[in-house]
Amino acid sequence: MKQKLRTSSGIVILLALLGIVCLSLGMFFTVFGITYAEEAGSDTTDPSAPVLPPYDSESEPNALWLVSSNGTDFAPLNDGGTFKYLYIDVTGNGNIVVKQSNAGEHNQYVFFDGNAATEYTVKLNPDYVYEGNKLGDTYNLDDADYSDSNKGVGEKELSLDVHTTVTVQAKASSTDTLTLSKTWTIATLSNGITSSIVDGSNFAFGDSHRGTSLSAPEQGNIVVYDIAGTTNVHFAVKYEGSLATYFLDATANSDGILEVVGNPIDVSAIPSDSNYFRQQMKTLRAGDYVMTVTTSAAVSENVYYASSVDTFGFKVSSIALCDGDALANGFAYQLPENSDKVYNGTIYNTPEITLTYNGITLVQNVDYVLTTDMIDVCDNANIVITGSGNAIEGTYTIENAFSITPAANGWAAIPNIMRWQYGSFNKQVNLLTADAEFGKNELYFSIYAEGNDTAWPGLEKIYLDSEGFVNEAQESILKVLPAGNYRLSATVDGNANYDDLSGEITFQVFKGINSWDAGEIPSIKPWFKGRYDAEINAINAKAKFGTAQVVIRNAVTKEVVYATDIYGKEITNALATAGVGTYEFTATVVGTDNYDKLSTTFNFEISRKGLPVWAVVLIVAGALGLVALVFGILHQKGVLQMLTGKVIIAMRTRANVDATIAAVRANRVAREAEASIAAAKAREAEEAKQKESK
Amino acid sequence: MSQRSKLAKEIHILEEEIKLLEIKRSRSQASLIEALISRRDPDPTDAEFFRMFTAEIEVKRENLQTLTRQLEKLI
Repeated sequence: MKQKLRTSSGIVILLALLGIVCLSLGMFFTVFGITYAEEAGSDTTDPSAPVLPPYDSESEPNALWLVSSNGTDFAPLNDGGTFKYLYIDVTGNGNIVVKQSNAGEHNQYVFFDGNAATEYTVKLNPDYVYEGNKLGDTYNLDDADYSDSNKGVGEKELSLDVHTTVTVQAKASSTDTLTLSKTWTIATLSNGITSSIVDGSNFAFGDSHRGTSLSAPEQGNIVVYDIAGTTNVHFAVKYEGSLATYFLDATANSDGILEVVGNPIDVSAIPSDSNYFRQQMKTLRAGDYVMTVTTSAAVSENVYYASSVDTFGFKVSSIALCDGDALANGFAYQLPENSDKVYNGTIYNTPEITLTYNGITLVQNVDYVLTTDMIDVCDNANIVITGSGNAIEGTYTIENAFSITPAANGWAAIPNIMRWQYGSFNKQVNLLTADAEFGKNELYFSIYAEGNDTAWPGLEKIYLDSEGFVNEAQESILKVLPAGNYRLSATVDGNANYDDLSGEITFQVFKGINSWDAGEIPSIKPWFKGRYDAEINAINAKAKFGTAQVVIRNAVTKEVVYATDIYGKEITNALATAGVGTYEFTATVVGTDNYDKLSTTFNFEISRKGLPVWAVVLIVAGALGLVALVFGILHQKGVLQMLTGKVIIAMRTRANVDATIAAVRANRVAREAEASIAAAKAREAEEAKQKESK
Repeated sequence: MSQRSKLAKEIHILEEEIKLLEIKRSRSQASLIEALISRRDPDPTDAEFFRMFTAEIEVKRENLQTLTRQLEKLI
């Protein structure tokens, strides 16, 4: 019994030990990232996965993986036999590490040529990348392919009959050819424009990828934005000790911050001797900037790097255009082949020069402004270069740089005048207009009668005031300018800078439309015979144009009692003695070439002397008493009562009619209501009868 | 004047005339009732007046009903 128990205990202990060993082995493989699938015959992998060619150690190269020390010339891993006993492990986020299987420890790195300072790039053999199964997919490495390679080498504990699943993930293309050193260095602009920029030593990274040391993050995004948020920025991070430069584009986002967008520029596409980044940074205007370096999370050789953001500021200063009186070093300018300019009367009349600083072409009206201190025609005009301050500052004069030749004058606006009717010229309405390209202030107008070469007296030279109006004296002449056709001439006398200029148009002063003045239309206040007063009964008749001739005559006898001549002079006045009757008032203005004729006639009365006030009061009182008497008689005779009774009867009749209509309507409604009630009762009775019958 | 008002006015006049005729008829009616309860022969004149007023009232009532129906159609 005891023997049986010992035997049973031994079996249990043996099984337990066996279990522990199995668990240990499982943990061991798990730790080193090797996943063993089930044994052959119970493969659970996708049967549709591509079947790789069988491994043939005698007729290489059937290698799945390729290796290169320069990133260009890739060879199979097993080339030369050195790498025959290798397998591929994939760890972390897809960084491929090549390990040797017989090195005793799985985490020891392999350097194919024995030089620890050299690193290699490993990639999938494109011959074995099948359609639909590219980087980023999962490949099953058939165990049979590697059975020979694993036999007899260090990793004997590895079963040859397992499937190793390798997940290959593509790295960002930007990391394929970029390896960062210990220190990131902001490219220094040696041309002086950004001399105050500081090194980016405050965002250094870890050790470089050399030997067995840990590598630095392999990718980073960099953001630069202008504090003022005004300009795009290009910049670069330079690998210390290397000429390789890494470029990124930057554009402003909605917040005005310049962020890196798009893919980094492949440095291999840029000629090795160019300095693209420097060219771009040179275009930065003076101001304060902030550069932010953002490093994405990365994994390299089993080491994870968290993302980080480093920020530093730098200042771009303006550069002085002059060194004393001379152009500062680095600046150069070039005049055009033909630098002569035609006079235009402004200080900006200069040829457009090409101004460069250390090979960078500066932008006119952005970086600098060109003016001249010689406006008039001359052979030795100077060009004054004035820095705008946001890139360069100071002023430099290029003496005797160009000639200014006379200009041909012309009309910017041809002469014109707004027409008017005789007598209605208004200097603020009837504008004289013309605009010359040169000599605006010397421009004057002249007015000639049609067919006359001599200007109208007083209108020989009309200079407009600062508001563009003629002066008052000439306005008064223009107001009485007779109706007819005229010529308006505009003239600018030339000088050394520009030619003479003249032009003319014809215009017409239209015949005036006559009318009576609003306050003095023909009128006279009538009077009682013998009470004429020259002031109270004044004669009104004033026309817009011309003098009114007034004639007052008796409408019946045609006897003239008042008359003036055509000049308004009184020639007859018997109004004070005019008798009772109807009189005809006639006012006439004779028409001329300048205005129309005008005539108005009306009648008025000269009456007898009126009743005195007491008589008027007496008449009114008598009339009122008569009315009262009539009403009293009517009341006495009962006529008023009768009329009142008729009205009352009519009102009663109307009330009776309304009452009758209301009563008839009420009766009808009552009948309809009774009918409805009777019908309802009948229905109820019928329903009750039906219920009983049921 | 509208047809409705005209009918209403005629109805009102007929009603007033009927009232007046009934008042007149009440005199002969009272004489006839007195003769009846006194068990004597009624005065032929009173009887004649009673019949005449009654007939006239009947005619006017019929006319009144006709007009009333016409008015009901209008309102």
